[in-house]
Amino acid sequence: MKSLNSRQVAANTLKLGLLLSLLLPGIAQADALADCFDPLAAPVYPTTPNVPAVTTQPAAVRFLNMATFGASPQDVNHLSKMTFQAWVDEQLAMKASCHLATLNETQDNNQRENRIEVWFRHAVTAPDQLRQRVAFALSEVFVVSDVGSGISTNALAVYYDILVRNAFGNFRDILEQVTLSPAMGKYLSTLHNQKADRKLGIRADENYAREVMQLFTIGLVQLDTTGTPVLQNGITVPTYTQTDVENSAKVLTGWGLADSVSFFDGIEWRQSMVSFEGYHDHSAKTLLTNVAVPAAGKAPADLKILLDTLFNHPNVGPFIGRRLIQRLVTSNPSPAYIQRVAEAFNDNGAGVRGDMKAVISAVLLDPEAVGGAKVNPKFGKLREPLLVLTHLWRVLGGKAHDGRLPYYYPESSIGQAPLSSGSVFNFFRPDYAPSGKINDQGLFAPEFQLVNDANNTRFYNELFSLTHWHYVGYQWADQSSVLININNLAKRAQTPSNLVNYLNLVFTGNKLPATVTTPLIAYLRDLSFKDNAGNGVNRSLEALYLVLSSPNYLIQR
Amino acid sequence: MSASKDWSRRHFLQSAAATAAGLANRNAALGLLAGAQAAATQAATEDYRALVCIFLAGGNDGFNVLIPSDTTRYQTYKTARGNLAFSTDQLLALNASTSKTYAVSTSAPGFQALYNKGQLAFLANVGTLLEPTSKKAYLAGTNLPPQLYSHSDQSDQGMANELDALQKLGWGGRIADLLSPLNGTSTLPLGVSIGGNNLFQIGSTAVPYYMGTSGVSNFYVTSNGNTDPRTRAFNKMLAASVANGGLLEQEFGQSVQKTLGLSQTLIAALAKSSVGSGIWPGSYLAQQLQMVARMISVRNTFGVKRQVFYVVQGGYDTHDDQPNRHNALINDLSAAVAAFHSTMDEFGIGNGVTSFTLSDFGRTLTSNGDGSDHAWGNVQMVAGGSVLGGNVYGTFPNQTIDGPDDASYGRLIPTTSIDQYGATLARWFGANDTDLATIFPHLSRFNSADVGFMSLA
Repeated sequence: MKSLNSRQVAANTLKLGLLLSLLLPGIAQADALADCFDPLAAPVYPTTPNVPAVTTQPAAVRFLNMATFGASPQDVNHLSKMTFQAWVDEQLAMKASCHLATLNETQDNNQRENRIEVWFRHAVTAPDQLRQRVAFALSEVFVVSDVGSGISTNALAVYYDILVRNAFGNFRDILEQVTLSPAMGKYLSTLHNQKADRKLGIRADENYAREVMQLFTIGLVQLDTTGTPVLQNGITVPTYTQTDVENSAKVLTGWGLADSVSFFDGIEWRQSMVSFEGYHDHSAKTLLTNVAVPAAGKAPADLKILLDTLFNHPNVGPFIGRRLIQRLVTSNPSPAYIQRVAEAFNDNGAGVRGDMKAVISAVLLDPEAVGGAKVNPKFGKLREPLLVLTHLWRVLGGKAHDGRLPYYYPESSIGQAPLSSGSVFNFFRPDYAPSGKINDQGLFAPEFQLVNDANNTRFYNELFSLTHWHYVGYQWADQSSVLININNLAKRAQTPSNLVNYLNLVFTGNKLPATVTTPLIAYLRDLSFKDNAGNGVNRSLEALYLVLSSPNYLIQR
Repeated sequence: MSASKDWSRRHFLQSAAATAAGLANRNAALGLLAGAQAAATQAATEDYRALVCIFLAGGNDGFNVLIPSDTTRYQTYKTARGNLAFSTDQLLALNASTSKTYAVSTSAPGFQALYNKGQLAFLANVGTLLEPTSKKAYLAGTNLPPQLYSHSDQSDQGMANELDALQKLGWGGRIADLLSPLNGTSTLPLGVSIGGNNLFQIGSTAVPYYMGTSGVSNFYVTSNGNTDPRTRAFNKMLAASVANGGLLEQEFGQSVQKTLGLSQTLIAALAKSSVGSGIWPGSYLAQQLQMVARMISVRNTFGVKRQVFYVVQGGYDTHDDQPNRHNALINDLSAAVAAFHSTMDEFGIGNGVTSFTLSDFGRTLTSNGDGSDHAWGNVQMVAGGSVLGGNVYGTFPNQTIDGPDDASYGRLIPTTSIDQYGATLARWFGANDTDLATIFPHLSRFNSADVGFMSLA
């Protein structure tokens, strides 16, 4: 290969890519987007620089609770040696841990239990935490679900990897790959959507046409860059009309599975859908009142006009920006914060729109994200049930004896499982507010849509079980289930205040007030240090459960 | 209104018959299940009323639940619905007193039986409205509900007492706000949800109690009683978060305090509950209605006179594969509703319990290939011993595509508002005219506050 310089290699690769794309029209070139870690190799964590601390431990914990699946002591130590910016940049440059690759190494890549286990394993152990965390956030915006949809497990893993691989890519690519994925095609019926046929008495399906606008890109009403609805004569201005939905539905006709011959057949769930012009509506259409889709356009050309139109709509920046802020940082961002993120979406500084790297940096490094309640008194959000579990296991090394994270049915214990919400409106809506003061003050608390008496009991009981009955050393523990390691707690338990201070630091970054820790310490003092299970075990378990139970932990600030 | 004007006489006859049937059932139940049914034995004059909201999430295709079956209107239906239309051999006839006849599909034998024995009514073409409207007003965009055809907006508006209010409250919650005094000092909220969080039951002060299909579970950490050291530490920590925390900590802490405050009482009460002797289907909806039945069976433990329940059945957003999916859903729905009301009759409380459906919106009459899309006017079902059943209320729409009632593609423009529907139920529940005007601020915009399907005897 000496005779080929790197430019020639690049040119040949490009030719090969072009050739492939000619041979396989419409098939996503996902494999070229981001390198995946080898699923069989041990995870590679970045080397921590041997320098004096730059970031304090509480600040690192707080930041990592927003940017990862929960601050692990290892990551806290790593971040303490650098700035937030440097940590984000390091994460943005990392390879991806891809879910399908890992799922393919399990005994059955089409078994739902394995998909959930692989999800937890990535959430708890993957080095590319920021990418994984953003992908999860995106999965709560671009929602597909296995509830009642009949989407196969491996198709869901393929879908999740679109979000993982493109988390640091461009929003336009996410939009297109999501639109053409068999999972979304099945979920919101773009798959097998066909043009109107008078003889059959049918017309185009409006499902995806509506939701791609309402939920994935522009929302219902015109927004300014701060995310505030634009008012005309005191009322909001709709972004689209029913006619726009009907016309977009026509644009979205003619897509079948990649191995389909007749349009309606096929089983290929891994590759993007492909167009069948015989089923595509070739009439002229108008989108969003004034965008022309000329007659005789083929399905991919029509789709490009629709997706370009949505992508370039001024709403997308504030709309998606607010959602990502809510998922990662805080439920009620200030308009100025939304505006700064929207501006990063609109232009990454090099004239590129939709650069997710710029958007994510803007979300996490904003003064409001970093400053929290000092900058915005309304700062904070409720931790989602899944994020409480991943946090617990990241801090205390939760895993089964074989290193896996077999926690198969989170929906039945904590009311939430990845890619498993009840509808395309996610587990909770961005504008949900529980009745009472939060609602009265016009504030939002989306995650509270999962809070109610039945779920409270179920969630608290599961927390009790996952702490008291699932630790290494517990004599009745099921070794094949996820067990935590409490050694770091037990060794501090002789002095209850040391134990509580440690838990307060590693879980909340010292956010528990004395009014909460004082009764806890008093209770622990009354418990014997020596107990049947071993020195400090009982105190450790009680302290751990009670800290995780506290509203001052469950609300992340 | 298409229901005949002599409904009051028929109503008298029906309710007399229903009372007799209820007594007969009750006596049979007592004979079969003496002792076990002790909680269910009630004086015939007991002042107890329950509303059970069955939310059909996703937008039920109500115009494939109630199908016009006389030749003229069936042809219109068949043309409009294309490949979604039921053929005549897929229909079960409903009793009729006029030449305008109706049917349900073969998936809904439970509805047919309830209707034909006078315990089920249909309300045709009901929907979210700001004021009475018309095709002309629709085309001009005059005073229409905001965000028609959006799931989230339309389901909220159908549950809301005032659909264009800035901060929405639910009409079930507003009923609870006003009528909770009827429950005296009962600690159990008037609203009980088995179907999770919902706007319908949120009032300005009212919040429902939420339970699962198996009732209320023991809250482990406090199960050793309030004097246990762990319980005390837990409660102190919780109280500190509520007292000193921000709004979010307060809200979460108070929610847990509410859960803890009632769980032991409910566990003890439900241990004595009954689901009756009938056979229940196994669907999730049936499990929720079983839980409602259990709560109703122990109503006297809580001393409640009025209850509003909420259950949910999902999966109605049938853009695809509608014939299979919708038939399965309606099969489950009609079987669960029939089992529930049969149990209420067995409990001898049949006249005190009314179930009714709500949904996001109706669906297009036209087909999108193998499904239907979001629309507006819909058919709702009301069942129970106090329902003047065996009738179709409201105005059944003209199903001609591009006809006078069609907004586009068979999106029917409603002729009865949710306010009128809700007010009819609320009046039966015990709301007076002043209450109704408070619960439904827009009610006076419509020609009638009572659609007529409830017996007010």
